[in-house]
Amino acid sequence: MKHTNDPESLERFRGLQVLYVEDLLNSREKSEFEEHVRSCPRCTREIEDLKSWYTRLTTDKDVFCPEPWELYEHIRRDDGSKGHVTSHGESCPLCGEVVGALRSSPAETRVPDELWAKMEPLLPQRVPARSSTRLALWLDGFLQMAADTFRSPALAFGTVAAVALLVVITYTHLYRPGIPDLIPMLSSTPWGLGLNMMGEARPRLAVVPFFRTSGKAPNQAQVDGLFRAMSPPKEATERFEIIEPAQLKAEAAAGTVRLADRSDMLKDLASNLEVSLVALLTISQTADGFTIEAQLIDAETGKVRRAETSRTATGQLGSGLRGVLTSLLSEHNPRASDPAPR
Amino acid sequence: MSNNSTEDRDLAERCLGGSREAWDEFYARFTNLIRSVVRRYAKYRDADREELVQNVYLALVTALKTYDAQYPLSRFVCVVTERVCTDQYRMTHAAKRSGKKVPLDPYGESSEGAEVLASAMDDQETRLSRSQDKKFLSEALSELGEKCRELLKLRFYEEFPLTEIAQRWKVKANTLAVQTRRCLDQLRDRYQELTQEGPDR
Repeated sequence: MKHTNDPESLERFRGLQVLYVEDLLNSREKSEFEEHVRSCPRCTREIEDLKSWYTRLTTDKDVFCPEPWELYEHIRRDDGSKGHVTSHGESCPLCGEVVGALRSSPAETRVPDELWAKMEPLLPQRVPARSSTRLALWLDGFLQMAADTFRSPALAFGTVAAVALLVVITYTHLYRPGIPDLIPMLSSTPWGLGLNMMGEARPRLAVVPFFRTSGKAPNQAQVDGLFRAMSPPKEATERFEIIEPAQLKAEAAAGTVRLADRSDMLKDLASNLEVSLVALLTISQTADGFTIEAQLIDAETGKVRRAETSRTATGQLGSGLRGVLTSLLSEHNPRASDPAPR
Repeated sequence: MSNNSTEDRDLAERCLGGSREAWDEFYARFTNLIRSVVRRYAKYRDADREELVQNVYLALVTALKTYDAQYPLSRFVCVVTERVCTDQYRMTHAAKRSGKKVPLDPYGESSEGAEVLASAMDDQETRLSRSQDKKFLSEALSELGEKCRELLKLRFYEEFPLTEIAQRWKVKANTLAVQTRRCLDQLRDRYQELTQEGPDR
């Protein structure tokens, strides 16, 4: 009795292994089989494995038992159905214990207080928290309503579109381009500009510095110091009729020059102070000093005639401002390109 | 969806909502089942077993949000209970190596007597390990084809002789022997896969 290596022969021989373990071979077959096994390590190994499975399955009979939850569901339904759980459960002594325990009435019908005290903080949503205040209740209701409403994609899209349209309309009507994040720097510091003895008409010019509010804004004493430092050079005063800082401050205080909005400011300066040009200086604080953006603007048209940017170190803002202002005004030739004096 | 599954889903939702009444209902329904699973998994002293049952409830509070209502809630409860038992086994196993004492209550202060000297828990460890092993075998069996399952059950659970099963099924004993071998091969292969994947698969 031997097997070859073809699958059919091997399988037949493995069937014989079962018959051998079951002791169902006659004496001749058995001796032939044992004779082969003695010379076949593979068959020896397989028979040992087979015997171990026989032992295991006859010992651990509960592996054939239904899961406790299956027994539980079977008892719970109790509809007289005859599934595999029923047929097994009726005869299995191993399941009997579990079935008995599941059928018995529970010793407690409430969560013990000690356990509840540990469970309660772990609960994801707690009833008291949801209904503790009217605001919380309203918020719960609102969120639920929103969630229900936005289950419909068309409605959700429509609402988003309507809100977007409303934002655009509001922005268009209410927004006016200005300088909202800038605060004007005003001072009564005199520049001693005096009268023009030359008698020649010059373009009127206002110097308006702004400080960008992202940094720490200077106090009035510091502003006055800056104005003293940036007093325009004589060359500029010969070319322009520059408005004294005190006058601009007084006009702003009176509301005749509105500085909160750029177009208002230009319009007011032109109409109320007959200013032709505005030297707009914007100061921004940086990590290591300041950046000064300077623009020379036509008050009538709002057109920027010249623009330049300068950086200055901390502690040198005054001289920096004076430098930028000098450069802005000296390089400009009002006689050639500026509007006529008013 | 059957009435039972609707009922299960409703109870789970009410429990997640934090209702004490819902948890009382849950407790009344499932505590016997939880105790049965714990008892089947390991032989603890009564006090330790009750500590473990408490741990199961604390685990359920956080795990319940993952419950899938297409399966019975009882099945979910059993899965969580087995996980808590396995975790306890691991803690004990790790502590045994370091000779530390292990509190059975990982969520709060351990009550006196609930602490066990890990080195004295050899029996429990063996039982837990064996229990896990049996679970793999049971699962491998349940995944076999119906005919194989029936054949193995008749032969090994009810212990009918192979020849009697052959007569009952009207097949030759040789044919049934080949079939038995084939079923045992399938069982062994699946069992080995499951043990390699481990309980956290």
